[in-house]
Amino acid sequence: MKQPDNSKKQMKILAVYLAVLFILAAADFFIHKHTETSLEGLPLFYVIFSIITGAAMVVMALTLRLFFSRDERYYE
Amino acid sequence: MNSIYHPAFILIIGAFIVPLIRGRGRSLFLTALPLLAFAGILSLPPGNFHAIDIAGHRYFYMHVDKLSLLFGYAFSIALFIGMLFAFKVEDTLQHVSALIYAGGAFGVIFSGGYFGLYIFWELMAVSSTFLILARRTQRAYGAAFRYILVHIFGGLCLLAGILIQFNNTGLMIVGFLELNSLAPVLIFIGIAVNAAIYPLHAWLKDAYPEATITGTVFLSAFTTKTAIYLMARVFPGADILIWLGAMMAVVPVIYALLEDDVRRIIAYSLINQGGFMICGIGIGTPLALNGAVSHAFCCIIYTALLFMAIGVVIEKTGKTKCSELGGLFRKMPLTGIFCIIGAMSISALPLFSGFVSKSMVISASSHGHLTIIRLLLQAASACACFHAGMKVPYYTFFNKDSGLDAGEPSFNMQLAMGIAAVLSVFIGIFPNTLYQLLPFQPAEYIPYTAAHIVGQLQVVLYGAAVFILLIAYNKYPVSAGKIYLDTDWFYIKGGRLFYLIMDKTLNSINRWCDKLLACGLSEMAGRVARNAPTRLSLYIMIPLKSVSGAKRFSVAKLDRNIRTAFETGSVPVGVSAAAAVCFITLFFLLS
Repeated sequence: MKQPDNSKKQMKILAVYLAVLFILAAADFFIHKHTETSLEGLPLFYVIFSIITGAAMVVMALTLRLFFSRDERYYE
Repeated sequence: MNSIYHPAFILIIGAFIVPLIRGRGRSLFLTALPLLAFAGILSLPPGNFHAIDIAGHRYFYMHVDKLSLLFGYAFSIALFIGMLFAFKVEDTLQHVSALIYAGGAFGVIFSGGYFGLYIFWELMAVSSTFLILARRTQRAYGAAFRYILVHIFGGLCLLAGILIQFNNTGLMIVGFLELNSLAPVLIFIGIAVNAAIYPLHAWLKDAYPEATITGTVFLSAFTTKTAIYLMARVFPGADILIWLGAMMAVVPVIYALLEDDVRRIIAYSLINQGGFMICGIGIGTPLALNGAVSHAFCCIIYTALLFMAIGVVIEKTGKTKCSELGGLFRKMPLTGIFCIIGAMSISALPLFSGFVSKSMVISASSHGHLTIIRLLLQAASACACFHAGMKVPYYTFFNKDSGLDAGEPSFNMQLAMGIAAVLSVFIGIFPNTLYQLLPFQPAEYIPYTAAHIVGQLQVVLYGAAVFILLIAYNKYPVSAGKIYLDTDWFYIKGGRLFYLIMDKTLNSINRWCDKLLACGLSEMAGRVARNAPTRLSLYIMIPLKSVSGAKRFSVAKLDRNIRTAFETGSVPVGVSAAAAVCFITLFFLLS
């Protein structure tokens, strides 16, 4: 019996995901934002914000791991 | 006598009946009790009154309004779902403690006075500890011990605050307080412990992952949410809560990113979600307070859903860690779907409950011109998608196949998860059903605007893109066999240091006293009592022998003879009489 090609399926999902990301980024230029702060009114603000936030959190997590990581039997 | 069916009493009385019923009857009774409690809530008239009023004797002052009713509805749902999930669990300890715990939670939210509130508050602390102990592992015993100690500390702070407040003002009514003196500060700390506000949060991530599979579902619903309720009632608009809430929303995210234990990841997510609620209470506007309590309502349901889905995985596989799980979707697709729905709700994706409630708090922060807070909350929102939204389902149901044997759970468990999942989606699609129940009316908030949907999707999906990239390049920072130091380090290590100091000081004094008084002194007294007659006789006999002119007598021989005479009781009467006379003379001269 032929196994389903997982990598092809994954590539399809990834392509759809990328298309959604692109549409979301493009939508920023067409939608009127009613924002309280001037920063949020900038196009692609939340696109850039999310990526930077994600990266910053990972950096902070790695830093935390460096200093606060212990063996799981530490308290025993 | 009035006819108030206090939901707390229904559950607590029910808890005492449970051990008397066996088998299927008990399961049905347990599932019926939340419905009875809900009926009790519906029977409550709005306002202030006493639950018990017998011939002028009134007890349990109650306060019923939209705020307490909203939490009452949420608790009823959580209890019903939890009992359905635990339908086949045959452990009386868990059933009884879960019912008393839930009864305590209902008692807190409907208490109009601090006295009743404190009783129910402590009832919750004690009964919930048994849900951790019921796991019956060494780790659970340790976690339960720390859990109860932390809650005793919080409870004592609350009690001290209540008593000082009563002494100063004579008021015992639960209501708005300003954080301007010692009593409100102590009450605040007492509530903050249960709300898991930073840095008093560590008990949650310590205890919840060690509780029983079904116990965690109850724990996630009641303790933090009763504290959120009380915070909203007593300290709305307290500025400090804005920053504490933002910190609470952001910091746990970093830990959740690293954590390997799946239930601990959700526990950190629970703290993160609580941060939004605390922040909303701190902002204090009607929109923010509505947002905080509606988020509590939604959070109770989707966190229970996540804990149930992961509980099923733990029950089926016996594994709790991301590094040990994976590829389970093919074996338990329905549980996987429920977990994904919970994950999407916690990530606040449009059409899911988290979106319609979390957005209110974030919108309130922009209306209040709190730009930094708004950005921090958005950052926490983006990262919630990271750890709970993506990490939990990915490492459990997808990733590489762990080869673990698993399958779908029993029908009651599926039904419980199904109800929670349907509610999460239903609230997401029809938010007005929830908005109608909010305390500040009219709750005019429209979550589904084009700009808002696009903005939130950008936050969530671009945040998810970072996660996908890390996974694709195998750079996601999960470390097996590691823990990460949190604020509980202070009391775990501090407790051991305290014990060490006490051991070295108090036990040293004890040992010293034991050596000196118990052993040394009694031994000395015994020695004196044993040797005194011999010595005394010897001191008298040596000069007498010398004076009487006895030649070549040996002191050692004389000592031996006298000692033998005393030990065998063969002392001549004359010697005893002489010794007695000497002793009496000595006593007379000295006195």
